[in-house]
Amino acid sequence: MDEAFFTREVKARERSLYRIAISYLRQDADAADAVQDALLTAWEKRHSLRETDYFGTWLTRILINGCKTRLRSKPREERLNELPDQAAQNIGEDGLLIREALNSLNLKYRVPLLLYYLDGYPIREVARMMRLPQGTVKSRLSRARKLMREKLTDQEVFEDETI
Amino acid sequence: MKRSDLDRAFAQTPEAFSARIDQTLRMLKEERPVKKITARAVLAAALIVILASGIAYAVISLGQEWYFNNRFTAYQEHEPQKHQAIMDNLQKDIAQENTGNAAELTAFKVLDASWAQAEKVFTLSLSASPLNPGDELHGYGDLDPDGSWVVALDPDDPDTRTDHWLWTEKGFGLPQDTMTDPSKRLLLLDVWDEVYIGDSQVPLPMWMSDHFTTPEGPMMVMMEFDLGLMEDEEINKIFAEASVPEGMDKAVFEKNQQEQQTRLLNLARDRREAVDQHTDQAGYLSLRFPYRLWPFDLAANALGEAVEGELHFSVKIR
Repeated sequence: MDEAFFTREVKARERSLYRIAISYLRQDADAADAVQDALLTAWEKRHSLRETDYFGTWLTRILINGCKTRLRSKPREERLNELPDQAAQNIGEDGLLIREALNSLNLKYRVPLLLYYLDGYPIREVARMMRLPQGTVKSRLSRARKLMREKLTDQEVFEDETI
Repeated sequence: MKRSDLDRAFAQTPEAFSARIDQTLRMLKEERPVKKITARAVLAAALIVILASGIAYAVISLGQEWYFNNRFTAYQEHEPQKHQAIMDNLQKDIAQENTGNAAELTAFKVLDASWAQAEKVFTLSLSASPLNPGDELHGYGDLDPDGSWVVALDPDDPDTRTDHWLWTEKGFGLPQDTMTDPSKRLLLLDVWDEVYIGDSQVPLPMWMSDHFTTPEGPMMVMMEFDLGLMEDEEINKIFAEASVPEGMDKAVFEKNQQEQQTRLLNLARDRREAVDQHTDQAGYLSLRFPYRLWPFDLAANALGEAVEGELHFSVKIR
């Protein structure tokens, strides 16, 4: 894996890395710190990645581990689950409703939901990233959909409900 | 709901975040072509030491020679110059003092250090063992690493749990099930903090860290610092070839770059001044590393109050 490959793959995943980090850490500055740490760690240990097809899975797993470590180091009162209040940004009424629904989810549901539905990772990959059995990921996705459906009653929740 | 709807809940990725990623990517250094080296020689040397000393294995397994030749071999294999520089500058006789209330509970010490200025790298290895034979030590990060621990149980979610679980060589579960000896008290070592220069609040530029519990029992902590981030020339290089990422406003990008460059240059200046101020005439730099120990109540399955500690030590840098 050379620098050009690494850079290209990271830039292609910038949005995904942001969503994962902000979901865990809430603050933009913390998210940026965590992603920077993850990139440096990944670059240092790039030789350990044998299959570059799994770059996204591997990098996301490093980021999730780093976010969890940071989260654990915060005092308990700071360990809130909500996404940051970005109401000032123009995300529209629907966006606010969806954010509210996402905010209602525990991290353990929110993160697999983002990885599966937004980033398009297969269940097997999500399981690897989160170090969970595939069955657990499926049940968490199922639960996440149910919770989202309860919040978004007048919208179809997800196009793909085949899992 | 479509993917785009879900994505909108996150608002736009902040430009500062994108700029930080770009800046980080520019800091990466391409490795030089590789020649594999010395694994056999290292093994032979290790064997000689093992044969020559009754305590050899424990000593080897907890220092940088073991770490860079066994657990993390990327430098040996891909950056032999850096690996060699770390080995050549290894200091094993470190003047140090473990202070604070935590020092009464654990023998936490610097095993060796390597200040390799030519390669712009400083490495530290530390070990920690409980002082009381009735205590067993693990990493704080090994408690609930799966994220399923919650304060109040969710009746609809079979995965949540209110009991803390510990990850060890034996597996993942209740601490009394995964500890080596559950009749002992569990102590968790928190090594998240920075290494500070002397008594200042200025930290050395941390590059990476690693920690784990060895099969023999003690924990090992490994840290690496990027001394390049203490030099203006190196920092200016990072920003010299910056180009505006696609889709980003040039003025915003340049403003971010300027702010980041100024921040790093100021930090580098502070670090150099702190190093000069805390280096004695013999060339020894004073450093300190704050840490915490969390006692864990197995019966109540609860963390106790953290106990603070601080390691003070000196390494030869000139």
